[in-house]
Amino acid sequence: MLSQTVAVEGYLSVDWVLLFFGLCFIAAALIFGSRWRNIPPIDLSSEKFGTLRLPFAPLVVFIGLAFIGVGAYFRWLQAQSRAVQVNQLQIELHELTHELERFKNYEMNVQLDFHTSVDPAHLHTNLYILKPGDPSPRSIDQGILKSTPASNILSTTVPSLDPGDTIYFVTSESGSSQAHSWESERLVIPIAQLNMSAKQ
Amino acid sequence: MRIPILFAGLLLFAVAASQSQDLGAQHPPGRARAPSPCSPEIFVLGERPLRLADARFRGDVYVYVDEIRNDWRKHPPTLTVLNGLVSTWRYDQNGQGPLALAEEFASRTKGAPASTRWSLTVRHEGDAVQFRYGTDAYLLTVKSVSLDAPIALLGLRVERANQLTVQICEALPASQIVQTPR
Repeated sequence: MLSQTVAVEGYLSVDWVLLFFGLCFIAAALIFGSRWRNIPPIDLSSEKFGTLRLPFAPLVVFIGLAFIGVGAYFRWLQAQSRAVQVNQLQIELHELTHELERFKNYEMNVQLDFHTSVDPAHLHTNLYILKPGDPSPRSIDQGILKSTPASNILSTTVPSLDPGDTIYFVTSESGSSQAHSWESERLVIPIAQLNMSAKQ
Repeated sequence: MRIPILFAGLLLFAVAASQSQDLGAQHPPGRARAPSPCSPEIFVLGERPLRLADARFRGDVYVYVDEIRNDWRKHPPTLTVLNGLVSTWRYDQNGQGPLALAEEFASRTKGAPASTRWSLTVRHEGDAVQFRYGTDAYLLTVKSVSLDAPIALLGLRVERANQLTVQICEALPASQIVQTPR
């Protein structure tokens, strides 16, 4: 990316320098052309194309135009390079946006095993998140937990967790003659460490 | 006169043969099997503990259903899965334990830790309970509730009892958080 930027800036300076020189040549030919009448014409001879005899002033104008033309070429090259660069930046932006969306959507899925048949509609569950250094946990109402094929397992999702956070759930049952309540074991959000083995 | 007697005899033989074939399919309920994602159907009699002889469980997993009443939808039975039950019951070669009423079962398994016990209230066919054995999770699904099913053939006598047909499949691996009663 850096080398591309340098290259683009290089094209920019060359472009302006060549334009300046080209204009200088043409201006010089226009201003001093009358004084150059004594200078003999320049013969540009080629075996293939024959001989071209140019007076000095038009030759200088021609050289000026050539300089400007080369500058225009560099400007076109710069525009092309910018288009490629913009395209590449668009692709990178798209990829980063996609990654960001994935990161935003990441939620930890948790299954709660009650060890007995439970009805999610009659349960009230709070999630407790204890951040490292905080004196007390923050409570979040989990609403109705999602049922699974197993009547003792309910699932839920926990968003926005940081490594080192400790989470646990407290559930109470309503609507039955004998009130039940459960408290889960505590889970410390780990940083997954994977061993890397050398490949043969 | 001989032809009708012969015909009746053949008919009786055919009925007896089909009955014994049915019973052969039902028993043994927990014979050792090769590991597979899903076990064959297992028959669990009411009030009789069953030791699963599935090779995956190494004889450590037990299933018990309390009384399966004829009006089981009104009074749903409770199926219990126990992992590592220690009891003095004697199990036959099919893993079938003796008759044990719910109270007796409860008192005998009182010492089993809550983390090794799962219970399912069977309200509908298709109800399931997930239990763990080692690091793996298994889903026990009640396929059907059979009332007055033939369970034994003693001579020409067929005993009938209520039973559940269950199947155990490997559950999807997932990390779980255990909710323990407060």
